[in-house]
Amino acid sequence: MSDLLDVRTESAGDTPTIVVAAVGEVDLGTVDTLRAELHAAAGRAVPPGPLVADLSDVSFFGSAGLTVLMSAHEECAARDIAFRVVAPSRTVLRPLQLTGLDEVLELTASREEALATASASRS
Amino acid sequence: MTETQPPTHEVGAQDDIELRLGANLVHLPVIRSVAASIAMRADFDLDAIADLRLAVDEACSTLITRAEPGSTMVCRFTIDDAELRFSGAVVSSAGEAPSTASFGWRVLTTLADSASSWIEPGAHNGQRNWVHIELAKRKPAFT
Repeated sequence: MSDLLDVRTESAGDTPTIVVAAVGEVDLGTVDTLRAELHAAAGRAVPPGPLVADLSDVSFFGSAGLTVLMSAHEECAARDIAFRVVAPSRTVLRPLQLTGLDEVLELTASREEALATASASRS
Repeated sequence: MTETQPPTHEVGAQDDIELRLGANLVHLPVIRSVAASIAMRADFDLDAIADLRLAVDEACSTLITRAEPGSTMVCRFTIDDAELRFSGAVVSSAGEAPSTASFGWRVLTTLADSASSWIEPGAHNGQRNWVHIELAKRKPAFT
């Protein structure tokens, strides 16, 4: 709906891995794009995943984004798919920490780390 | 018809900055920019500026989702020696103050040094009320 947020889904190689990468500002006005993309990806993902939400290039992240991440987390958990969030910046980490969701979601500092099979679930 | 009386607190001093804009989510980026710019000029550090941007965004998101369609939101930034204060208000047919159980309110209250929301009954015994959210962030201490 706007140029503020661009969300793209990529499949990495022939693994069951799906990466949803967001670029821009996630607020209540733009979050539907991210929700739709993550929901579609979660539906397409094959256990054990992972489904990765790469938020490296997100320059604003409000609580609307938290709700969407939690939905994706629950959707994936129900289907035994690992859901990982790439959150290297304070912009994204801050709201996650303030709400304690950094303890619930599996966060990584880079996409490489999120895709590495060795990075086992912490939750 | 939707542009009625402004919120009842007194019109501020020379340094107050007021924004009036459509109560529409598309305006959130503008409000965030203004908040960041004001915080920057008030000597907040980068982390505090980011926090204020986030807190103001949560406040306005909450207000806009409660506003009458097509109505106007009024935002005011007030700076004094001690703190930067944001207050926002919209006309709403909601009868209750915004939920304090949401992620958004949790983020807002953790980031701000104080925050509150309340309902002000409409002046013309209609059904519409003003919904207010106010928050304050202390200025960085001199070192």
